[in-house]
Amino acid sequence: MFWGAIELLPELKYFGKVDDLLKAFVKAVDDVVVHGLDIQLATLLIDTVEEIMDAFMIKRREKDIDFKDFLAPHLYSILIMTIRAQGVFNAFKLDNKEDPDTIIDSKKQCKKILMCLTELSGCEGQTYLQTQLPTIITEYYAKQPVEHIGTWTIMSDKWRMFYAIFDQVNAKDMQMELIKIEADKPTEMKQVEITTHLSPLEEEVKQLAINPPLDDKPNNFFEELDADIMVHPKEFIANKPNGSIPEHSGSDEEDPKEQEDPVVGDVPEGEKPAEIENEDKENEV
Amino acid sequence: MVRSYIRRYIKGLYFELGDWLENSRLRCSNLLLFSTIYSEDYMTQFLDELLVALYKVVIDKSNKLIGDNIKTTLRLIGRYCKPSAYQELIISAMRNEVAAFYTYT
Repeated sequence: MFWGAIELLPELKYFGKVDDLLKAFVKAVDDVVVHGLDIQLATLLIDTVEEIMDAFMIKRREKDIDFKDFLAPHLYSILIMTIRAQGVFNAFKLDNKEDPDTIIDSKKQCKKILMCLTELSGCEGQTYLQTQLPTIITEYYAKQPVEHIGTWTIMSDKWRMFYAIFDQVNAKDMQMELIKIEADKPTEMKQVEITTHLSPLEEEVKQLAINPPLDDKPNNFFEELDADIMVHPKEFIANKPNGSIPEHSGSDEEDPKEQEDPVVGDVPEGEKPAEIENEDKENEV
Repeated sequence: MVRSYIRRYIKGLYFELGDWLENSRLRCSNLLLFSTIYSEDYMTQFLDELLVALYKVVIDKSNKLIGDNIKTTLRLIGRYCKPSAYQELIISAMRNEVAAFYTYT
């Protein structure tokens, strides 16, 4: 669509019509897309950027328009997009596997975009990547504490980006001076007190955990129990008068009304109901 | 002539673009391409739904002819419609803010 939009523009002064579109595209990619790059998304991104670069290159050759000033604010962002996508394409290489054909094609597209960037930026004698190398290293790596770098995994985006950059630089580029930055002051470690709202029960449990109550109870819990319970049931029965099992002597007396069984009470004493008699006979058999 | 009739069948094209038969998708992409060629800036009024339908198909690389037709259609839309008309639609899609448009993910 971007290609179509600039296709009929005759001169550089009309390109202001698509400036907002390009700005919005670059910003959306910087804000959202770049942070969630996987192989499929990186392939789509590289396809899109290649189309945009092709459009500018064709226009440059046809009409001999110099886009250096027009594209200057966006070139660095496009370079970062390309490098990050290239880092994603290195995933197979970092895993000691051969690149599939699609990845090889995408890597070629990345190299083509880098060449287009060099042409469009008007750099002479060195590539656009070489001119921006100190800025990239300073921005992404120089400010990182050494302890943090050690914690990056091999597949983290910064390592892959690092790998992609050093895949394309030579020995001379390694001798470039980095941009001087002011060293950040070491941040003081402050103990932060975490305040949480606990329910009264949780608060009580927390206090009990911190200050356990003094244990006043005797260690042997069974000492306090009734001694009768600790005696063997046979001895208990033998010690009782007449050797009889004591009747239930609960403090709560039963209601005399409840003692009357409405069913059994109707049958006179000495006689059993017919059902019970039948059961007795069956048991005897 | 095309401008007066495209309204009647363009909604069918949105569904046919995602058809499981490759032949149907190919014919549909051809029809859409030639409709865009004849309609020119008249396509602006369909952009909101048309672009969502095209996002789904443009990723498909199984058939090169379909891919080329879709790419050319998008290029022609970019040529005939004003950038301000489709800028918001594209950017919101890139920011993943049009998920409600998709019938499935």
